[in-house]
Amino acid sequence: MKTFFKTILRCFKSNISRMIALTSIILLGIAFVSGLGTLSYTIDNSINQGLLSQNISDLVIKTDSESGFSDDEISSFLESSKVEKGVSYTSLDLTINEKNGRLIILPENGFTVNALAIEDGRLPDNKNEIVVERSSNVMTSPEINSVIDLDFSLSGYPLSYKDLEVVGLVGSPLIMAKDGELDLVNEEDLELIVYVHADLLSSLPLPKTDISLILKERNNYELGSDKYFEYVDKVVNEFKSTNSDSFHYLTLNENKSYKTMLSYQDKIDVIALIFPVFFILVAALVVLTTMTRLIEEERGIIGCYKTLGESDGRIYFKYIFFALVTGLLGCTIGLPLGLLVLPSVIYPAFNMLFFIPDFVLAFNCLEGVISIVFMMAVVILVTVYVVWKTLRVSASQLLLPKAPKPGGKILLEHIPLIWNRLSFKYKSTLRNIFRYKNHLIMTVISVAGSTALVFAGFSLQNVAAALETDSQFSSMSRTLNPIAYLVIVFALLLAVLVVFNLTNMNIGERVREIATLEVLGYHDKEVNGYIFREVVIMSLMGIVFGVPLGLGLMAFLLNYLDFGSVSDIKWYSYLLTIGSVLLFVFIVDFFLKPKIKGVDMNASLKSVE
Amino acid sequence: MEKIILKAEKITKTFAIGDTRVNALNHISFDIKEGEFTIILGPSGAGKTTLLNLIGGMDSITSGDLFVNGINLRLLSKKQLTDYRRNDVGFVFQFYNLMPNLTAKENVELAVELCKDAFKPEEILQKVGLSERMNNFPARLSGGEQQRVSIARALAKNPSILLCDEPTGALDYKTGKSILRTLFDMSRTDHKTVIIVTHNSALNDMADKVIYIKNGKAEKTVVNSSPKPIEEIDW
Repeated sequence: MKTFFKTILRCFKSNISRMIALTSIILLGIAFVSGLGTLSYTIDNSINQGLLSQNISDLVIKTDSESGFSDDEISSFLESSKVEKGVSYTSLDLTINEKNGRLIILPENGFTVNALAIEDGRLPDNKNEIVVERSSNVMTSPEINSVIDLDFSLSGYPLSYKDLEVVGLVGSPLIMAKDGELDLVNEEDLELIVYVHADLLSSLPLPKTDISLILKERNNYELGSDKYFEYVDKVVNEFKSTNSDSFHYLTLNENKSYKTMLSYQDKIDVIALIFPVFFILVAALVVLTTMTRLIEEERGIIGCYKTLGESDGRIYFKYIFFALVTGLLGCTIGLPLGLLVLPSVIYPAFNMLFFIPDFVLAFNCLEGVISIVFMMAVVILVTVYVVWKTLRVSASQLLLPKAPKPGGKILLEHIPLIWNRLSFKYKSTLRNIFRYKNHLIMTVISVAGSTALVFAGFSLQNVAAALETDSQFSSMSRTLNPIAYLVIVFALLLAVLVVFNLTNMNIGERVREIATLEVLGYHDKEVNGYIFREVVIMSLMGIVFGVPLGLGLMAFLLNYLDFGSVSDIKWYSYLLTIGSVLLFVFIVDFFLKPKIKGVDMNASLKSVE
Repeated sequence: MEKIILKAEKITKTFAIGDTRVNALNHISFDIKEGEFTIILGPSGAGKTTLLNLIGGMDSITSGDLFVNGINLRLLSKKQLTDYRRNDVGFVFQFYNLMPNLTAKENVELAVELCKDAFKPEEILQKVGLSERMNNFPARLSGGEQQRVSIARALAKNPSILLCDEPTGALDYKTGKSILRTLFDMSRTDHKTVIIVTHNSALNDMADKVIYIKNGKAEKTVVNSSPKPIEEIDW
């Protein structure tokens, strides 16, 4: 048993470069899927945590009545069994200092609901002090410590309050999006929101216009979830049945900021579903190819085990053990990397869209776990299948060297017009490419897959840029950039690993041919050319298929996202995709040169293994 | 007097295995004349392969001088050794080592591509008796035919020496004999210097010169004034 274990360890040792490649591909795939999978959850959670800490309201009730809410009406809402707590106040949408503004009178006990986050300064102490909502994409607020006048008119009467000091910049949880909020009169962007001390307007009989409420059972639901809105709507319906028709009930669904976040979250969810599915399929294909070839190369060893009388079970165990260790290593590094690192890298980008609270580390590992289960199933199943297929062959046959695949003419040779013009080098290369058809198909599909993802990444950025001109999507599109970069980086890494892995296996299978060429007096450059011409041509084929595949992927994605169009994709994205994938193919080739150089010429003297 | 084409003077090859140093070859000296049919003979482990690697320019010499065509191989850089293999050595492998994806003719072209004064592939293949099978892939050829392609590939470069590693090792008796006949004819008709490395002592009688290698040393060198025709030799 001890010696048998030794052979397992040797299997790791002798296949170390392939094991590293396998582990890295699995790692990359799991990190990508789990990271994007948790992205919207983590961001949503961070933002919700921030909003809840500000006691965001579930419901704002407004009235059409000129005289506002009566005291009875207010207390009936605040003391309702459905309500945890609430606050009533005056909020008037009007033109202030010639800006589309909102004037809010701070309640006596302050905003216990929808608490104002103090970004700078403090809250007013007396009637000569005011605070303003912080500046955003649509709002340009006066500077802190500046002294301003407020000019507006109420019911036709012009009013002017002089020399008010701005003592603080604040943020309401209801105005979290940097694209701001619309006023309720003209439905235009609010440009200025002023919070004044109650004493400032105490001489005027201003009615209470708003009641903000936190509902009692809201903590039973995740803020913003479908269940949460069902619950809020149910309460609203109960209120409607017992109260005046002149009331308007505004839930978070009617809050522009929150709505923006929800719709953005939906889009991320789509991106986070389509890209990872594609990514993990490509990764799984590479893993499948690598494992198959690895075990096929061990047929002599398997034959040896059989003649020694090892049980099938132990032979299975050896390779499953190898697969498990390699796979789980990739998964256990990839999952935390994706869950922890990826969202924290993307989160700051939301700064463009929202006043984001501090990042809260929380994750949803559903997608990550599903991808791990899928990946491990692929690894184990392919291992079991290939070992099973090998074990069916008799030991005596396994011990014989597998006859090398015979060469043959390829289809292109029947087109003399092209074939006769090719140089000898290219004829040989093309025959080699088509000699191993499985190999060719696997290479082309995997390179095409990663190329498609790279292209999708560049296109996503183009589409986002095109949307910036559309103000409705302006900020959102900017936030898509980091996701696009992320896709590009991961897809290029995948392409690198794919090409590295396949070239590496190629060299391994061609050691004898390489050694022979060296003995014949081929220079390093010529030998490299012999291997790399093939890799480059196969990669080019992959790229040629990959770009239209990426275009299809984008069309599908944009259709789901319901914005942008493939016509927004710029010509240079095509060039960037082709250029960057090719560049990485050359870089991989460069790094594999020493491996070719390291082939011992004595390999040409030995018998066929 | 024939010109000396290869001269070995006290060549030594040392391998470091861990801390210990092992002399695979120890002060070996001999010389081979142009057109001589030479056999380097020795049991396995005697250092034959090491010597073959040195003559073939596949490995570096630790000490001593090895002149081929007046060039001292010990002084050549890696790149120069590659050029030496390319222009001066024709290599015939025990296991043929043909490129499986190239036809017989293309396998010869593979070598022809490398040098300037190479022969036409068709002519060489005719010479080794394969004019009918030129367009076949190696998988379609018998062992003997494959070895002939291998010889043709080595000859096509018009090398100074033809270096053969157990050329009959993977062949049956009869085919082996006909391959040896082909190689022998090359030394006679084309005046090629043929060096065969083998452990088969029965071949001694057919050679102009036999160099006996044992324990990394050249035990003796025997010159045959009248080699026996290959057909009269049995093993």
